[in-house]
Amino acid sequence: MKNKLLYLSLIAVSLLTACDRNLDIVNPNQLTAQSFWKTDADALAGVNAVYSTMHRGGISRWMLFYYIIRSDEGRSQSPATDIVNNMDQFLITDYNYGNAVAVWNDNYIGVNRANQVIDNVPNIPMDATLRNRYIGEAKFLRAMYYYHLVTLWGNVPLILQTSVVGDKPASATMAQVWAQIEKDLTEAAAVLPTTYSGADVGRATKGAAYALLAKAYMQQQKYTESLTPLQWLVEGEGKTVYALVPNYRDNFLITTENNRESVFEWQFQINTAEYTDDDSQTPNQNYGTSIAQFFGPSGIGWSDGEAQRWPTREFYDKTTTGARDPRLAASFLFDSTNVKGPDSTIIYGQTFTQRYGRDNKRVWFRKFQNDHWKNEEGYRSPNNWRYIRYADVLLMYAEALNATGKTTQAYPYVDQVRQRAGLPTLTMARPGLTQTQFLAQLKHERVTELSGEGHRWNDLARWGDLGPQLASRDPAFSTFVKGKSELLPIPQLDRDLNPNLTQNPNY
Amino acid sequence: MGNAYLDVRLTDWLTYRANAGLEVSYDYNQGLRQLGVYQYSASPVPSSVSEDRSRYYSLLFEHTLNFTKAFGSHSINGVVGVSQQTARRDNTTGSRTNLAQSGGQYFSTIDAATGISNSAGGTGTDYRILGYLGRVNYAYNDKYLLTLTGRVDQDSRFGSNYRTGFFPSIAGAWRISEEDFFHANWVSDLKISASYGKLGIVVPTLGSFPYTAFINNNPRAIFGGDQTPNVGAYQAQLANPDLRWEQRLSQNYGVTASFLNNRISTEINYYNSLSSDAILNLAVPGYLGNLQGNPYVNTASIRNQGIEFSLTYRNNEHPFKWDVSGNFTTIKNRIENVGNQGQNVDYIQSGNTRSQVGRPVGQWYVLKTAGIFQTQEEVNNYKGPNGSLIQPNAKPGDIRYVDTNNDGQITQNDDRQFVGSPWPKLQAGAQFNGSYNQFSLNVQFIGVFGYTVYNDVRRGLDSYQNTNFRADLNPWSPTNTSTNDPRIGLGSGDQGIISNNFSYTDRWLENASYVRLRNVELGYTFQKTLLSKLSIRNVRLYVSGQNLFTITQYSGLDPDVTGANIQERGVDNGHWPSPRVMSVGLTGDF
Repeated sequence: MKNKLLYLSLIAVSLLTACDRNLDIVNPNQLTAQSFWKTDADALAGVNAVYSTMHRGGISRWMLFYYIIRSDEGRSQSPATDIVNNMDQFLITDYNYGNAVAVWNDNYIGVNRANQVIDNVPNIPMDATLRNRYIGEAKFLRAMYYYHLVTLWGNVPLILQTSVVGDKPASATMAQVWAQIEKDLTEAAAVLPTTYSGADVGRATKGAAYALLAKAYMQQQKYTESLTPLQWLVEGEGKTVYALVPNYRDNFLITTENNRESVFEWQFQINTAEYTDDDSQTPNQNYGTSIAQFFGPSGIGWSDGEAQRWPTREFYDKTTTGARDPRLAASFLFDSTNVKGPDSTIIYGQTFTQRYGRDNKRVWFRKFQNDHWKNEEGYRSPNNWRYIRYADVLLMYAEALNATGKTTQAYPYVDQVRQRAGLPTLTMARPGLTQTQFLAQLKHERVTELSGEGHRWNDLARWGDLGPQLASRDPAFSTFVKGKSELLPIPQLDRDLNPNLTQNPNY
Repeated sequence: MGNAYLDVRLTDWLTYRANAGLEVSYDYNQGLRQLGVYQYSASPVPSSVSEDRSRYYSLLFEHTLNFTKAFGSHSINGVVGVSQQTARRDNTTGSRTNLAQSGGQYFSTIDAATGISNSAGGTGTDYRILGYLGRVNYAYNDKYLLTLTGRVDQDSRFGSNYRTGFFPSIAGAWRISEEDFFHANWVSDLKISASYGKLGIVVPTLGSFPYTAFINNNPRAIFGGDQTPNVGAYQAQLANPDLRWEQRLSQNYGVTASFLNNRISTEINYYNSLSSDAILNLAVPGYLGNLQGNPYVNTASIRNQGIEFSLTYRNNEHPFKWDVSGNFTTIKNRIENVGNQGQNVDYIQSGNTRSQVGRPVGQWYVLKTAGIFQTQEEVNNYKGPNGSLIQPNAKPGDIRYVDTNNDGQITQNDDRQFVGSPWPKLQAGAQFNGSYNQFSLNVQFIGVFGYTVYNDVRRGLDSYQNTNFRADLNPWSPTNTSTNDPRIGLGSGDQGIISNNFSYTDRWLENASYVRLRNVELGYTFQKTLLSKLSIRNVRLYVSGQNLFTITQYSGLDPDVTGANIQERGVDNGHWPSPRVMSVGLTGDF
């Protein structure tokens, strides 16, 4: 009996100790959030994650459909009727339409990432200047994501702290969202550097914060307020940082990214090892953009979004040497990208005539395509999206000066933009315009300078020009309902989970 | 897989058992891709090889002391013990592009490739469970039975404050037919039983570290003149540090009886179980910016109750021996509460379902259709209380929707209503076994009644956009008006077609009740005398058919739909249907 017990307890002890009884298992794959946000390296990685959001598909692809294709400069002939209905016309097929939800989600993913930096980085012991810069970058980016949300959806929930399960805030008003954007950008501009060098080029600068702040003011018709940040950019320190590049087309080539005209760019690069757009799934992610594939001419890309014909007719002013405005060829691929016509126009290595015949009247956006260095497109375009160019800033300044009664002072800034394109100055060509005439002229200047860059929708909204009357140049606007179609419907998914969210008017 | 145990008999009433179980699996997957263009007008994708290797093991150690003792009419037995379980999976993957080629043949290892290489690896599963258990069975004269059970379980998948759960239960039975006062010869056995107890539930999909917030270091930001990727990191997935055991309180009351010398036997049970703190993978609103999956949350209390009944008749007294049996189960499930979902929110939303307090889990919450507009006049006469048209963009041939809140317009937010339930009201089975000399026959039917399935496959096809059509499609036209399929048309610019294709309507719901011949098997057993010379002991030849026919109105491939998760149980995303299997077989013992 005694032996038996001894024998038994030996076995028992050996079996019991064979197995680890500790139930506090450390996840060997990932750091815990608790052990993060301790060092300056953590802070830097946190900020980088906020930037990473920009190459997610909702932002680098579908959001551009809403700003470009939905506006009167774009159209869709996609066989996918949901793209036509939701992103060209104003027929919402579902308040949970997947591509709209992707835009909504991705911008809020950016907000969540920025919130984590803004919540945690202040407590990290590190160099104070650098810490302030990181927080400033996060605030700039948070403001940018909210700028998208407020101009697409209007009354959106305002999330300003690290997300927690079960947070069910009420909708904020557009005024509240704008106020937060102004606050973030003002605070960001105070701490961000004017330039970066080397490996940091492409991060948010003081000038980027001021330019976006000016956009935010102008979008609310606060033209007087917009003058202050614009003055810094155009007449103040910004003057030493920014300039128009001599060759307009250099703004859209992969070899001349982050040039002196660049105020802020979404940085893209090819990753041949990628297999997903989801930047939280794997490092083998697509940090290029697929927009070039989706806007690519038929036979090259999907051609899900393309340009209207009327913008090509806006380039009627000849250069001082009597040539056609060079911006036309830089902006569009169509039967006359080469002024000599379809037989001489090269579309990705073949003539327009070879590809489409002489009578095809379709027009495609060219600026962020890759036809300057290859004859195909794909999902991994490395061509940076020029989010704010200095030419845009100059035209904004002119618009703000004109809106505040300083029409004469506004002329020189339009002149700069026209001169770079080789056109005679406005002072020469159309002197003495009234405030209203000047605004009309400025609308034209923005089309010739900025088409296909994502500004058109907000321009129309700011000018109060969104409406079914645009159907004469873009038939899709015949489905536009005033008082409704200015905003997208809040996703029903979010409203079902949080009934405190109100739907936008007339949805 | 393996199992080993050691029994030590300490005294004649006490035994110690050490049990060790081991389950190990090694998995290997190889993917090879030839050079080729995989997308319209894109540049060719290089050849590549990828290899995944993973190792899984699950270790179980149990130490138990079993005792059994009888004192006269009393008998008692029981067990106390401790168990430990560890599970872990590690995996590694590697890949490389540009495989070497020779004579048109690709080499197929990573070393044979020269292009871009990738590797990844991690520990997908790593958890432990520690359990202490005790059980006592007591019987008096085999007439009064009582069982007491208690378990204490600790699971590493919950945070240290919520790790330990205590799960007791009690069960008793009274065999009335053994009582002296019971005199009914036609009753062979009669027993009533009852049980009441608590169980701890861990959903298998929980993962190993669900309660902790982790840092995701996959984001990459591009900067610099060289446009190089920079590592980004943040907490991508929301976490719920308060995750705890889901507890199920079960009650069962039953009667078991058999009659006429066990020729008829029957059992009836009433069950009522309440799952509280049910662990659900709760959808998170988009404005929280969550990624990498919805967090698990202890959310709802769900009650399931119903009756299980079975009846068997046996006839074994003649060369033709047979038995026939039938059973049915009723289920009624009801959400008792949904935790703190916010003010005035007494439901959980998931897809087109809503789990609302007082209603079954995942009930359909959709727009209700009311036929097809046959004429423009019908469209014009469909008006709200203020006289405006409810569906102004509809054309003849379009679906008419019910304006549930009677506000003169159809909106997703205000006009959805509860329609049907994905839970069967009744599940039934019937079975026949017969044998005559060497022949045997088995027939099994099952029937599932009273449930509604969302046919997402048909939704894709019947939207008519960028798709193939059903063979039996019968779209409405002015000359073909008696149909349920609306008019056909291209959706771009046509609000009528867009509305017909709304995904959140009962147009896609179908009654999926069915009766199925689950199995038929006819067998023949060869006579032993014939076989003894061949030193084969037993040979049986059979022909069987599974799922030979199904009677149902459901238009999808298979009405046996169980969906992706409990909240969207009845969604048919085109699941693989149950196969119809015909087999002929020969079995033998040597």
